[in-house]
Amino acid sequence: MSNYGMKVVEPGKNITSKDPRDWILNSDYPTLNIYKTYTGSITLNAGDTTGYFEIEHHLGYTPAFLVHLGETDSAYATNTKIRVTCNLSTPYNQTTTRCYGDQAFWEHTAAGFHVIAGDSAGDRGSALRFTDIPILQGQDLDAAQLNYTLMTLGTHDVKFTVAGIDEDNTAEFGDPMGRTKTSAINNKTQSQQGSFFGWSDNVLTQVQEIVDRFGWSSGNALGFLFNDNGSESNECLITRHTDNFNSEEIFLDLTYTTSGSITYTYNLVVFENKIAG
Amino acid sequence: MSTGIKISKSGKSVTSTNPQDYILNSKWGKIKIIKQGGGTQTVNASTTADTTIPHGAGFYPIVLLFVEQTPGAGRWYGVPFKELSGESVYISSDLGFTSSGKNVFSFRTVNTTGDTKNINYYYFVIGATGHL
Repeated sequence: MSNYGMKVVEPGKNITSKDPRDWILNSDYPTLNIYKTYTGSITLNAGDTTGYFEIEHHLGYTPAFLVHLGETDSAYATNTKIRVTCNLSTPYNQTTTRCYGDQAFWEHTAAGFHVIAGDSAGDRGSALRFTDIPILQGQDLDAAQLNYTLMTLGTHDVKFTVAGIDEDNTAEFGDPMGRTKTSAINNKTQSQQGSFFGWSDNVLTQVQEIVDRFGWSSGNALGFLFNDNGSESNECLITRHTDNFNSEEIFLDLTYTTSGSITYTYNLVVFENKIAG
Repeated sequence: MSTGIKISKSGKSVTSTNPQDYILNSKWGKIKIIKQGGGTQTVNASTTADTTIPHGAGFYPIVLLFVEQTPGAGRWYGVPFKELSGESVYISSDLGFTSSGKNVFSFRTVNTTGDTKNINYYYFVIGATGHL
């Protein structure tokens, strides 16, 4: 007899079965053999999006392995180590809060529109106020984005500035255009857009300057001032003319990170079986 | 009377009921490999390439697939096959293209770059049902 070896089949199964699921052991076929099992952990601190752990396997070649991964995690083996990487889609404990505008002031209103900034029968500006800002005094912000639905009038670029109102807790507007501005001011140039669109601007430095004020506290209100900055005659930004302030078209997204950490634990099985040299 | 083969680890009783005490215990079987192998798949710029491996199991087996997305880098990734940071080519997780059939398994390689790329792969087809 030329064939020899060992075969053990499940109870009730024929020893001649060719279905590998019937075999408990068949020396004609190799098996995945466990080399070692490991437990590793990855701690992500607030603001982290990724972390990893590594094991040195000392096999001298790249082995097969198994590890249960989350949807965005990954793992790879080399001829010396296995690395398991935890990936988060957003930084741990990072939150973005959308604050809707509470009040607006426009220096100039015409039939069908309000002027945000630019030249419309003279230099024009406007102001926005947001209440209940959930940022602690001195808390570091990751991002602050001011969003406004607007369009332009005219034929040339509109030049304007965006500043914060440098106050601990911006009070309701009468005419706020004379209020003190933050030292952070954005100089903006907007090309002509013939229809309403979602404009946005990075106002991180302005908001950070305001919440860093000694008198600031969470829940306070803050504001922004828009001013013309040399636009030609009758070149301006406008927003829709409604009887009431349309907060849905004006909002402020604040992104910040709170403290804390999280630990993920992984069980890793390394096989003796080789996948590469 | 039950029959089978047991080999316990040094210092462990052959009557132990703990599977981790055994080097071999026919009661629990082994992870049987019915096919293994590897290869290289070329995928043209900004396109996809499908790889099909016949295994002839006659049932839906579990497949372990490892991919070296940058040949020569020495990093062999295991599942899941999401787009990975630092790797320009990846295996689609779309089950319409990366899946195990009764007699073949297949996977789709996605190349998001403007250049033709190669990937290296290695697989184990396991003699156990992964899907009924």
